[in-house]
Amino acid sequence: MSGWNEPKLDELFAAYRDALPDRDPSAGFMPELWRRIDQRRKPSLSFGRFARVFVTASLALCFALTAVTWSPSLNSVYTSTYVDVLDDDPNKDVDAIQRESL
Amino acid sequence: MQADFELIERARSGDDTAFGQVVSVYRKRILGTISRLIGRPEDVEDVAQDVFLRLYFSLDQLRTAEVFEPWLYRLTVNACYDYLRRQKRRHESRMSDLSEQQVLMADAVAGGKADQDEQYHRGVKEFVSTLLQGVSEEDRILLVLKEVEGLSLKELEKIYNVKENALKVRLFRARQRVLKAFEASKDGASPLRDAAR
Repeated sequence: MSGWNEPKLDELFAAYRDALPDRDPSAGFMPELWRRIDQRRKPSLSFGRFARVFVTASLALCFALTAVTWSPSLNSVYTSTYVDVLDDDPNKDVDAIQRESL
Repeated sequence: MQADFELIERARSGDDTAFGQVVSVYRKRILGTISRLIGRPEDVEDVAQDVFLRLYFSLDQLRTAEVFEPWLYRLTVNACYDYLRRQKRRHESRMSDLSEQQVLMADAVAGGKADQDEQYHRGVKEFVSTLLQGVSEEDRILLVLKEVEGLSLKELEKIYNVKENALKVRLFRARQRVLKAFEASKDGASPLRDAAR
């Protein structure tokens, strides 16, 4: 259908290539690029710093809570069960006799 | 001109000096490619900076230095695509503009030789840009990369990560659409013929 215009279109594309050759950047190209890089780098840097502080504080809190929970003084209170303590009580029989006589 | 793999590796590992050198090697070519992809000289540097900005922040994702060029082209394509999408939202150019451009061009041919060349190039740019507006942004970019930049199907395959056959189909359809618009513009009248007059 469009065969007769195919070579013309190729010619037009070639002319378009010639009309827009590779070009040199302006003098401000690199400084502007670095400015944009720095601008984008700053928020990510401050976010990174915040993230590091947050993680450090969280770890410190975890260690503190672990230390409190596993404290040896607290563990020593629960070395035996309630029943064991009652069994070991030397006055238990006396108390029972006294309650029956009343 | 091509940057050596060692330079790319250094840039990839965070060496800013190496990154600057990589930009220096590729910026001229990338500026040319962008100008042909978007067809608006005043915005070319802005889009090119966007490309290198994307490159800077994504270079660590590059698997090997060997695939650097297709990677850079992919970033260029994406930046141009984003630009064209933004531009499309701003204003829509119509096919009816073609005849007006051709009249302006024909008038300009009466000028001096340098002026004539300039007018001719401007006419070609505007004519092709308007023709390409008849296809989607994706197809426009694909067509320009193939027909104007002269990239091979193998190279396009690497850039797009799409099978060669799928690319062929897309290219054929896009070219047919452009050809149809070309013929519709005063029965195939083009700036080439006008300038030769």
